[in-house]
Amino acid sequence: MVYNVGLKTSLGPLKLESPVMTASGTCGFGRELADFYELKELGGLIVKGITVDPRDGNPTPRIAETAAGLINSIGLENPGIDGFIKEELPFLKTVNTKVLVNISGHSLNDFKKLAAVLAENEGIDGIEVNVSCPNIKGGGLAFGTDPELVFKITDLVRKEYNGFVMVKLTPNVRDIIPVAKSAAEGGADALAVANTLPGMKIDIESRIPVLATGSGGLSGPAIKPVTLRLVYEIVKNDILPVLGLGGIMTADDAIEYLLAGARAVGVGTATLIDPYAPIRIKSGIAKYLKNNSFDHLQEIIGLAHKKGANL
Amino acid sequence: MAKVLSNKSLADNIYFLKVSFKETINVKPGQFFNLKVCRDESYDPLLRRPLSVFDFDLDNNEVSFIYEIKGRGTRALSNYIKGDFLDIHGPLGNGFTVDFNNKKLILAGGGMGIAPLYFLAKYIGVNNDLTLCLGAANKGVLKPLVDYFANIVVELKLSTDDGSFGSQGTISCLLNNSSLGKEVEYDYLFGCGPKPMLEWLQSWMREEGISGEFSLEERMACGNGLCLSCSCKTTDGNKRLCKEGPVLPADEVIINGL
Ligand SMILES: Cc1cc2nc3c(=O)[nH]c(=O)nc-3n(C[C@H](O)[C@H](O)[C@H](O)COP(=O)(O)OP(=O)(O)OC[C@H]3O[C@@H](n4cnc5c(N)ncnc54)[C@H](O)[C@@H]3O)c2cc1C
Ligand SMILES: Cc1cc2nc3c(=O)[nH]c(=O)nc-3n(C[C@H](O)[C@H](O)[C@H](O)COP(=O)(O)O)c2cc1C
Ligand code: FES
Repeated sequence: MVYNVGLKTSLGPLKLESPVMTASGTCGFGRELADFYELKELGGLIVKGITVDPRDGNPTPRIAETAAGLINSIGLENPGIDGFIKEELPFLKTVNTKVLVNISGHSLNDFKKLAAVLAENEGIDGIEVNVSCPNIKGGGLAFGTDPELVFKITDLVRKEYNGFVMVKLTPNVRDIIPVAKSAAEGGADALAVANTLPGMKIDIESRIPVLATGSGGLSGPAIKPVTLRLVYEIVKNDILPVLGLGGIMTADDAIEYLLAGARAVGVGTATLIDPYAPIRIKSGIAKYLKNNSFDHLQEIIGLAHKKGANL
Repeated sequence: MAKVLSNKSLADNIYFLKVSFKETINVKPGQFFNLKVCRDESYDPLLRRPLSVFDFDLDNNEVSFIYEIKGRGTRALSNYIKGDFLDIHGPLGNGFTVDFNNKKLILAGGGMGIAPLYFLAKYIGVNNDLTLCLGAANKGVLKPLVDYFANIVVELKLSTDDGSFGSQGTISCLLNNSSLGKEVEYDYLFGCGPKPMLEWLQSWMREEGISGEFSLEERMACGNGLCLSCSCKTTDGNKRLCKEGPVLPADEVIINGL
């Protein structure tokens, strides 16, 4: 459907044809979604988290369902950076949308190595740095909870990689502003806000947690109010352009993020339930703009800050 | 979207669901569908529920399922009535190998693992000699399922854990017991059921030198190969049960490998 409204947007230097991207870990490496629609319909594709070495992932069950939410502990099953370059990159080079590669590490050196290898290869449009993974040396605490480490990781990645760098923040912090500022100081171009929240589900028959690993990351409608508020707060502090994500199921949800000041949005869990969700959300945004007499998406970004809010 | 033609209770907590699709679909035995059970704009239960095809009517685009009420999702499904519409993805997955001719085949099903074997038996029964070994907890569960198989001419061997219907014990007693006939050479086995049953089958098949395939279950968030929640470890690396499965070569599967 054509709505004759402008949907172009940008995350700093990264220009997007439309504002809806698919979130890491919920769109594989793009092949499966390409069976449903042309990937150029998407603002961009953020592929599954890549680590230095291949990983088999966690034991199963890897998912548990909770009220309007999904808890996952996939454990970063992926072919490793070399496998990615060999098996997935050739396909990604052929897709006509922005491709961001999500990288995960368990040490500072992992991030440096991943960025260095990606810098040597053409065909991707940027890196999304996942700082939510546990820091093995730091006793397993997520890197993303420590502003100092977030600075170091961003700085290392920035020095290795000239292209677009977006840092994906964990919502699991007392105050997100210092972390967001550290990413900016480290040289990030944008922030993805946010990753999953830690959660648990217990099976009352077996009386043990459902997930084999005990707990995992909560996503879906259940987390939207939390991540939406974080986006609002970061935008208010005018740190870096923000990709808003967490629980977006409909165009209305996405519009809330845009009103909160996100320049683009990510859709994760919704794509798992309906592969067409990102497309549906994109046309729903266009329809909203048209119905409310806006000519361009940019006109609504950040409007919810007019009235202000106590945070 | 599919229209509910029937959704009726066959026994305590066991339901038969039949839906019709407007568009033409083609379904292979062993494939599955992913059913959205929450209504309209509700997000709860959030995820779709995977169910194997129990029967397929090609001429009318009708698919049937048999499911057991386990939790919130299947309970929500049981509340749909004739005339309702269901948002269903599928057919999904690879399905069973069906190009057999003049072979002696064993179909072994445990509990709800019996469901996918009915369409398979109908499909390959015409050209092959089938032996069905079906087991369940008790008569209440097994009888309504077995009644369907009475329509197709196959050899049925039954067992229940409590002995209320067929032999007492698990499928293992059906396969081990002499009634299966050591003199008969079986060519291939299809298995579907709980993990302990598949584990037992796997070692039995190795002993007897019978090859075959298993239809496996894992929790699925997408059913489309996007999320890796359904990984199964095999001798050939991890496989996504929703894409490369749910049917995998029996010898390759590493049960409880992840
Ligand atoms: C390929 C495939 C085919 C299946 N075919 C049938 C069938 O023909 N008949 C039948 O009765 N059952 C079948 N199952 C199992 C069925 O999907 C589960 O019993 C059902 O999803 C349970 O949902 P619930 O809401 O009742 O339970 P809940 O415990 O509330 O479910 C919570 C979550 O766990 C998942 N889950 C729970 N148990 C299972 C399980 N055993 N397998 C996979 N996911 C599970 C649910 O899908 C849901 O995401 C099949 C499973 C798979 C993977
Ligand atoms: C199954 C699954 C796998 C995920 N894998 C990753 C990953 O590899 N890297 C990452 O940064 N985030 C990962 N995420 C988080 C999502 O990208 C997203 O931030 C989160 O799910 C919130 O958005 P949603 O509510 O729209 O799903 C994963 C989420 C899910 C549900
Ligand atoms: S269920 Fe998502 S990959 Fe199989």
